[in-house]
Amino acid sequence: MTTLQRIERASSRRDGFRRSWYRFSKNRLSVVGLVTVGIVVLLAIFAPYIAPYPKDAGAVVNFRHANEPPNWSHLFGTDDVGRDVLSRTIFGFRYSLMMGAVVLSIATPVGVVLGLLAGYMKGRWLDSVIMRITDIFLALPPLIMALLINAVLGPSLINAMIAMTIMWWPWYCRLVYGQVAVLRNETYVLAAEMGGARRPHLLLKEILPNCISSVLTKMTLDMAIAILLGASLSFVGLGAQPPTPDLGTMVASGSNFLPDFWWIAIFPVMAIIFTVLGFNLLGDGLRDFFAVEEQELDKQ
Amino acid sequence: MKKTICIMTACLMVVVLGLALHGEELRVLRMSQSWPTRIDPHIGNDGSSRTAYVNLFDSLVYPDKNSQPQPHVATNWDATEDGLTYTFYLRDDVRFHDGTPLTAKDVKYSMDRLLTMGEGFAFLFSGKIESTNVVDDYTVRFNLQSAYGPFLLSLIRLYIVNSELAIANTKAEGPYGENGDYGRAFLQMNDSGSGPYYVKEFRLEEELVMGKNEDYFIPIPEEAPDEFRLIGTTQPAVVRTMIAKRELEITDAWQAYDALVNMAKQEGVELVATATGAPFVVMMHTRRPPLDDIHVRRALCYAFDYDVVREEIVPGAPAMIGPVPLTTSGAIQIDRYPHERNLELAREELKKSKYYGKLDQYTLTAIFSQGVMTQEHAALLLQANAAEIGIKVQPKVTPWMTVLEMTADIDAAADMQITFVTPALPEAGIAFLGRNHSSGAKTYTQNEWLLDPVLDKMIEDALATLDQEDRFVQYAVIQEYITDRTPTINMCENIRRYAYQAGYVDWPLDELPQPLFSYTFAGRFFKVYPEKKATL
Amino acid sequence: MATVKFIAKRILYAAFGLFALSVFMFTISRILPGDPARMALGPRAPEWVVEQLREQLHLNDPIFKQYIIWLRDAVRGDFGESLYTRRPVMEDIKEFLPATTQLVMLAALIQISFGILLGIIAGRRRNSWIDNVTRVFAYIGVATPAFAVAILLLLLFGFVFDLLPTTGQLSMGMARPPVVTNMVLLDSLIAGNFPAFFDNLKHMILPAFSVCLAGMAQLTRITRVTIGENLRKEYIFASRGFGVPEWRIAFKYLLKPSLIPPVSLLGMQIGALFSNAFLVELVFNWPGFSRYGVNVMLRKDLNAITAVALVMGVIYITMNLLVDLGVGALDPRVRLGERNA
Repeated sequence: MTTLQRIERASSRRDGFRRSWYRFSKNRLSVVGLVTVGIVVLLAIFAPYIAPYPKDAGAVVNFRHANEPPNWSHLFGTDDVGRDVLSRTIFGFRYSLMMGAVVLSIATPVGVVLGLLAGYMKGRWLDSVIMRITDIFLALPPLIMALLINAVLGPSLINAMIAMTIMWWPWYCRLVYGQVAVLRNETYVLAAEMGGARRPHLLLKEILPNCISSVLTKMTLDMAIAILLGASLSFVGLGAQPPTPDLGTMVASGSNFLPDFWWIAIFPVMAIIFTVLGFNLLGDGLRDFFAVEEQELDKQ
Repeated sequence: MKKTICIMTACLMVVVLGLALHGEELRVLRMSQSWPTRIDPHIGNDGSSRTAYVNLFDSLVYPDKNSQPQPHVATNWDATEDGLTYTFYLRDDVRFHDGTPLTAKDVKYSMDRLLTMGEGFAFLFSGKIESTNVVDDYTVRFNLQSAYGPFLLSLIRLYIVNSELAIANTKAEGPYGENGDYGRAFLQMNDSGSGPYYVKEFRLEEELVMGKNEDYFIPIPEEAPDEFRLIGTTQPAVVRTMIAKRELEITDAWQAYDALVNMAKQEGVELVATATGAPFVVMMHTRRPPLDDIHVRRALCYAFDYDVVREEIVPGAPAMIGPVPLTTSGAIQIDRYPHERNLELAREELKKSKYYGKLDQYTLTAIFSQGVMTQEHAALLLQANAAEIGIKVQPKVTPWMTVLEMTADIDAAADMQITFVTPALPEAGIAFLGRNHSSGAKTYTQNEWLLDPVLDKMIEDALATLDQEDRFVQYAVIQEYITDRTPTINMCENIRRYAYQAGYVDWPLDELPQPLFSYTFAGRFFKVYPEKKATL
Repeated sequence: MATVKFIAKRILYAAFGLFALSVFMFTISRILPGDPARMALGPRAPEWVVEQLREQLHLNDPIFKQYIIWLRDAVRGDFGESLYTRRPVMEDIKEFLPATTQLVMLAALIQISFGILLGIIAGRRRNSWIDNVTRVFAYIGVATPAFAVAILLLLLFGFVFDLLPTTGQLSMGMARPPVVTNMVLLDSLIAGNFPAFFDNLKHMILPAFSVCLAGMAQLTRITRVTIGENLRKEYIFASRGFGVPEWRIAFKYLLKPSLIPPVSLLGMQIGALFSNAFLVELVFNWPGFSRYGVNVMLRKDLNAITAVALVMGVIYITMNLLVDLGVGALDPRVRLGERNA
C-alpha cells in the first residue's frame, strides 16, 4: 500500500459509506450482531425508563414477594429478595457494558501507545522494558490473572474493573507491537522516513491508522470477553457488591435457588449470552469487513 | 471415526454396568458441611469442626439434653469449697483408637496444649487454670487461679487427645518453645481421639469419613450409622440434587429456607429447626462516628424491621429481647432493649443526636461473609431500613480472612458487621466472654469495641462466682448495663434449619442438647435404616 | 540451533515474568495490614508464641532479606503454611493439582476429538443442516460462560434426567485406589481397579464438558474454515484426478495442513481450560487445584495465593511452549523465532 493509495482510500471513504454498509450488511449475521448490540446499548442507556420497577435495581427489599415465578406483573419473576428480575436484568446490561467499556477504554489506549513505542523502538531498551513488563501479565491465563489481582485488592465492582484493566493492556500492547514490527518495514513507511518525516509523525500518521482496523475488531470481540470475564469474577464472588444488579452476581446468587426458582438465574444467564453473542457476531462481521477491504485495496 | 464411536459406546456401557454393580449395605449418614473441617480439637471452633470433635473425641463430662455436664470419661469428681481445686476420677476402660488407654496424662497434655496454643476453645480456660496435675493414672487435678463458675460446663469443650501419639509425632521446630510444633502438623491430618467414631479417611475440601468405633466404652446401638461422612460442599444445586437422589441424609445449615422447603416436598424428606443460642446481630463500631453516638445506634435499632427477619429471612426465629438469646442460661428479657420497629422513635433518637442533619456525610459499611444467604438478606434489609431514616449503609461481601484481619484492628474494623456468633457454651457468662469482654475484642465475635474496663470487671466477677443463683443475678446486671449502651442490633436468635431423610433416618433431636452446638450431630444417637430407604 | 536459542529466550522471559510476579505478590503480602504470624495463630494465641513464630518466619528481618529467604524456600517448594488449610501450601498443591490435571487433560482430549470431528463434518458438508447446527452451537458455546454451562449441565443430567454423578470424584462406597500419582484415574489403573476407574471417569464427564465447551465450539469453527479452504485447493482436485484414494486425501493432504490453525488455537485455549476449571470445579465440587485456588483467593490466604499463581504460571508457560513447538513440527514454514510476537 502506498501513500497514494491511502489518499484514494480516504477520498473513497467519504462517498463510499453506502458501499461499505452494503458490503457489511451482506453478511446477515453481522447485522444481527449490530442489532443485538444496539438493543443492549439502548436498554442500558434508557434502563430507568424501560425497566418496569427501576427502584428494584437499588436498595429495596420486598421479602413478601420473594421467588414469584414469571407472571404478568413480573415477566421474569422476582428474586430471593422480592425484586423484579426483568428490571434488574435491564440494569444489569448497564453494569456489564460499563465494565467492558471502562476496561477497554483504559486498557486499549495504554496498550496501543506502549505497543507503538515498543514496536517502533524494536531492539532498544524501551522495547525490552515494555515487553518484559507485559511478560509478567502474560504469565497467567487472563481470568486467573484477574482473579489474582482482584483477590489482592478485595471484592468490589471497581476493583474488578481495575484488575481487568491491569491484566488487559498487555494483550493490546502485544497486538500492536506485532503489527508495528511488520508495518515499519513497509515501503511507504520507509519512504516517509527517508523523506525526513519525524518519529511522532510516522507513528501517528503512517503506522497507527493501519493498526486501527485490527484494534477495532479486537475491541469489539474483547467487549464480549470482558463481559464474560466480569461475569466470571462476580460468579466466583470477587465482583460487584449487593445490591448492584450485576449480571454475574445475579447468576451466582440465583444459582443458589436452582432448579425450583430457575428464573432468578436463567434470565441473567440469557442476558449474558445475548450480549456476548451480539458483540461476537459484530466483531466477526467487522473482521470480515476489514479483511475484504484490505484485499480490495491490495488489488488496487 | 466409526472406531472412535464404537470405543466410546463401549466405554459408556462399561460405565453404566459399573454403576449397576455396586450395592450399599452399610448404614451411612452423610451430611454436607462448609469447610474447612478441622480434626485437631485444639484449633477450631467453627460449626463443621465442632461436628467432627463431638464424634471423634471424648471429654471428661458430656452434656445431657439440658446442656448440663454429666459424667463421661470422668465417673465422678470433687471440688474444694473455694472452687480452686477440682479432682476428677477417670474410667479405666476408655481407649484411644490405636488401643492406648486414655489416662490422666492425656487430660493434662490436652489442657496444656489447648492453653499454650490459645486457639479454638482455649478462651474458656485461659487465665483461669494455674496447673493441671496427674495424681495417678486415672486421677487428674486442676488447680485454678481463681474461682470459675462455669468450669465444669466448660470442660465439655476440653477434647482429650492421645498424648503418646501426639508427642511421638511432634516436630522439633515450631513456635511453642520446647514443645516444638506441639504435634500440629500431625494432628492436623490424623486421628488422635477416643470417641465413638474414628477417622477412616480425611481428604481436605472433600470429605471426612468417620467409621463407627466398635470398641467404644459406651455400647453404640447396631442401627447407629457405620459410617458418618461430612461432605465438603454447600453448593445449593449439588445439595439439592444429592438430597433428591438420597445420596445425602442431612443438609448443611446454609441452605436458603425456600430451597429447604422445596427439598422437603419430596417423600421422606423433612425439615427441622434447631436452636443454636447464637445471636444474629449487626455489630456497630461504637468508637467510630457517627456510631459512637448512642442515639444513632438506637435510631438504627428502631429503624430495623425485626418482623421481616423473623418471618422471611430466618422464618420462625425467636426474637431477641435483650443482649443475650433467651435459650442461653442466665439470659433475661429486657423490654427496653430496642427490639421492635418504630420509625417514630427512630427519628426522635436521631434528633437527639449530635450528628443530626449531618448524617448524609457518612456511608456505613456493613460487612458479611461470602456465600451466607441469610446474612446477605439481612444486609440488604438493613440498607433499605436505614435509608428510610436517612442513613446510608453499604453492604459488603467480605472474604473470611479479610473479616478476621479487619476485626483484629480497631482502625481497620468495619463500621458494621453482620454475623451469627454461635457461643462455645449456652451460658450467659461464656457468651459475655466472646461478645462483650475486652479479651474477645480482636476476634470476629466482637466488632463493637466497647473496651469498657468497668464491664470487664463485672464479667470477671460474675464468672468467679460459684453459686449459680448469685452468678445469674450478676449476669442480669451486666445485661442491663449493656442495654444502656445498645451497641448491637439484635436481629433475632438464629435457628439452624436442615432437611433430612426422615424416611429412613431417625434423629432424636428432642433428646439432644440443641443450643450446645453441635451435640445434635453426635452420630451414635442416630439410627439409619437402609431397608426403609429401599422402599422409598 | 535457532530453535534452541528460541526456547532459551522464551524460558528466560517467562522466568523473568514469574520472578516479577513473585516479587509483586510477596511485597503485597508483606505490606498489607495484618501480621502473618498473628493471622496464622489466631487473635487469642499468647504473645510469646506469636513472637516465636514471627522469628521463625523471619518477619522481623528487613523485607529485602525476607524476600531472599522466601525465594530460597520457594525454589525448594516451600511456600509456607496456608492459613486456610493450616498445612504447608506445597502439600495442598500436591494433593489438589493431580485432580485438576486429569480433569483438564480429559477436557482437552474431548475438546480436540469432538471439536475437530465436528469441524471436519461441517467443513465437508458446508451449509448442510449439520453445518448450521455446529454454527449455532459454536456461537452459543463461545458466548456462554463456563459456570453457566456447568450449572445447566448439572441440572439437566444430574437432576432432570439423573444420569450422571454431580459431585466429587468417586461414588459413595467406592474405595479410593492406593495413592501413587494422586490422579484417581491413573491410580485405579495402576491398581487394576476398573470399577473405580470407570466411576471416576463418569464423575469427570460433566465437569470436563463444562470446562471445554467454549473451546470446542471455537475449535469446530476454525477447523471447519480451514478444511473448507483446503478442500478448494488445487492440489486436492489434482490428487483426485490422479486417483489418490479419498481417505488418503482426507488424512494426508487435507487434515494435516488443516490442523495447523487449530493446534495454534489450542495454545491459547490451554489458558482457557485452566481458567474454566476455576469456575467449574466450584460447581461440581471437584476437589482440585482450581477450587483450592478460588477458596484461598476468597479468604485472601496470601501464601497460598502466591503459590497457586506461580505453579499455575509454570504450567501455563510450559504448555504454551510445547504447543509452539508442536506447531513448528506440523508446519515447516513456521519459523519459531518469528512467532515470538
